[in-house]
Amino acid sequence: MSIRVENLSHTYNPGTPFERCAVDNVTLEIKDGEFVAIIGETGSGKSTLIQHFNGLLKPTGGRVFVDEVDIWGKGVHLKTVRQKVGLVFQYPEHQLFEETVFKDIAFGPRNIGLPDDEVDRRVEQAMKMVGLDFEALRDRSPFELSGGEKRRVAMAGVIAMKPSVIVLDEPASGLDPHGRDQVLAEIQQLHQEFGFTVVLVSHSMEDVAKLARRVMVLHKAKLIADGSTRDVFGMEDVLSKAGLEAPQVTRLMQELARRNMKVRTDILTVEEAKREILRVLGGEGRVS
Amino acid sequence: MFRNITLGQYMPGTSLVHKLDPRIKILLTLVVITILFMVDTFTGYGLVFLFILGVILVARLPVRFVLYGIKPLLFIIVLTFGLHLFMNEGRTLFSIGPLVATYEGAFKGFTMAFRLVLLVLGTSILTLTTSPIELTDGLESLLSPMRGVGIPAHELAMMMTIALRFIPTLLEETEKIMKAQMARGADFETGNALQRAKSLIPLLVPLFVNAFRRADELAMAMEARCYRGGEGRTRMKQMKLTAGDVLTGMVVTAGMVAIAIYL
Amino acid sequence: MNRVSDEIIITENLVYSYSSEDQEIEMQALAGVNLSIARGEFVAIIGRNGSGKSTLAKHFNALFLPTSGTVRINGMDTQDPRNLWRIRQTVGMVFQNPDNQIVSTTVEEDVAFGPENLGVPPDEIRRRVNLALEWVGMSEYMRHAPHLLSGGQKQRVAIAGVLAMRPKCIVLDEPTAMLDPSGRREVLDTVKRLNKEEGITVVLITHFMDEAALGDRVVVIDQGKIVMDDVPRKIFSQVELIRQLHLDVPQVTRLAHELNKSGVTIPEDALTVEELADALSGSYRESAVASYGE
Repeated sequence: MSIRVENLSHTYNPGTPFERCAVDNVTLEIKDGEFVAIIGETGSGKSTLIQHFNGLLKPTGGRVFVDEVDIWGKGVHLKTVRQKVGLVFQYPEHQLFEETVFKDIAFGPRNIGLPDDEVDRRVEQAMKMVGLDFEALRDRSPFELSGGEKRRVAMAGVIAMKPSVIVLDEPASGLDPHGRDQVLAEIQQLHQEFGFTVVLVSHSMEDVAKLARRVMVLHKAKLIADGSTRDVFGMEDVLSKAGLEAPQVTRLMQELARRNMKVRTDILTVEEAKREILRVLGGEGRVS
Repeated sequence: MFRNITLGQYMPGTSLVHKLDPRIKILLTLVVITILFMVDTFTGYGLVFLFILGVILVARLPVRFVLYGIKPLLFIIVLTFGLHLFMNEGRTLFSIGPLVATYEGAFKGFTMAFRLVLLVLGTSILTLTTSPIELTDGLESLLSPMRGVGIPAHELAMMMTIALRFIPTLLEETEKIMKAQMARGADFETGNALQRAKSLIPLLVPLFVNAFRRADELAMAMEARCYRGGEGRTRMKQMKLTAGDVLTGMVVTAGMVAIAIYL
Repeated sequence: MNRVSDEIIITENLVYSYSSEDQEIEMQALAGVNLSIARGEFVAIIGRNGSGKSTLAKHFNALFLPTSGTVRINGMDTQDPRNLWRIRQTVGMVFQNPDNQIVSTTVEEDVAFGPENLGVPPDEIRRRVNLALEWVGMSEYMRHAPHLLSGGQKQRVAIAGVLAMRPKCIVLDEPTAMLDPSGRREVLDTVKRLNKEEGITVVLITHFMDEAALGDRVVVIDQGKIVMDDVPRKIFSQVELIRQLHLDVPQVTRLAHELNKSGVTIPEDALTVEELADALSGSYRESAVASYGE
């Protein structure tokens, strides 16, 4: 399943004093099985962009293809597109509404008109994928759960539609470090074990560095960078223009290189940084 | 989808109309509305129309923007005209099947539609030139003598302020929840009335749950900032009636009464 | 006696319990907290979700009252209802969700809300509002509608709203949780400046460890109790313990820790990129000298 947007533009309130261009001539492609991150400041157009991926917004210019089908073409049902491309909004727990966890997660599958036994299976599966205990929680009210659990229920509600692409807007925001690690681990699992194509929108460069293989940078409605995570985090000028900062360890390596240490600067995680520093310091225990 | 609402939006400015005491503005709006219901001649409407046009110009409001405010009510205005056109007896103007339009109907319909337009324009001038704060302060001040008979002026004003403050926030939230449920295959547009009412549950439940949560947090934030009702409270902006305010009020009222009496 | 007046917040054996609605179980959100915060200090409080840190913060301006034990603000006992308004004026609160603490429809009116409640005369309110907005760098937005501001700007307005009450201390309860990186920077820069330049005591509750590292002191809460209380360096250099408490340390601190485990002896208490870079370039020179000597 691939998503391709061609010369996509979106202008809010065209022709009024409140006119605002939120996405400006963006062309990009997300291939089947990728793990892509979209980064940029608030107001850079990320949210507007991702709402085009499943047809929640109609472009004011350009086209959107899901699986090479123009989703605004004749005879295309947006419901089918929305089933293929799942979108998890920021603070998704604010959209819970049913009396029980089961019913809430079943909302999506029921909307596509699946039979009861299939709905059951999907709910159970989706809950397992996000690490929720099906038997213990199915009949609980979602409003009684902890913040982290609520968020998982909301995520399961999208996963239960069995999309092949899942787009997550700031999935870890507001959680404590442990909750954050858990949710991110689950997202990684969705990608690696269950084969979802994942599009992650995040403000945390550390998280992006850890998870995504490819990064796109939005700035003032335009796509200003698109490349491998290593390459993009190496572009200090692009990041600072977009109001962003590479992860601490990446910046550390860049700083060391500036101080004439012969280190690689395309480092993304603490583990990589450790190996690289040990290498240039001449192996383990060399300096002691 | 809710970003296009312009009806009654405040347009900041420094004109005489903007600076007029909000209490006088509220009272004068009431006067104009009353006069509109008393006048029934063309000349009368014409004069009120000229007056309103004059105010719009003095306030330096973009005329197009003001007229934009009529758009949501266009249907009702046209309907009013149509009903009068065909429902009155008199000389035939033209007819469509059994429906007969009359000259008298056209005249009556036109005056009624014109009256509605003037009502909308008159009240929107008030909201366009008066900030929500001034409006609520003005109302609070006008209502406060009635506290004796049990009208909680301060509480009403505070409720209005909070409502005005949260309308944009809640509209934004509604849009977001709607989209989130649409992403799960929800359909808010098709089906019969019953199905559509039912389809609103996934929208309304979270909206209310979130509104309660917000109310809770807001109440705590207000308490933390020492809010304890209207007692002993001061205001940064004091409303002071100037001689000019009073004079404007008198002159406009006198003019309106004259129109009502002579026309 | 002198010592007492040096401290703006003192809690003694503070216990706060509540009974969950359906079950009759008594839960202790705070289980005996002894904490004192000195005037002018910048204290960060960290702890996992549900550790009790937010409950503790709400005791600092009498939004919550202790079940047992005492909380004294500037010498005033929060249990005494006569102190209520003076306490709330002394300690201002800024909350997590910027949308849910702005009351009014323009920025200046919102900042005026606190002093209006205190019955401050109109001219004085105007002066305070102008000054408070200047302090947080929002003067040019004075007449804007709050819903059109960015998250960072809204939080700065909320801070100005507290400042206009002339507090001695500001308690911020996860003020940056809903902001993007530049919004976070805006808020933190503002808070740091108020602490350094205006001498306002700051209590910052946060989930972001790099923010906590800005404090003079970090207090770690777990299960309603203070489990660590020290300068940031000492706290974060205990990587294993911090991780056990479901918290995190800044990436560079973790890296320093890992390198030490692999035999690179560098100080483990680096908190910023510069500090670790200094330490490492030192070692690098040594190792270069060492290999030269071989």
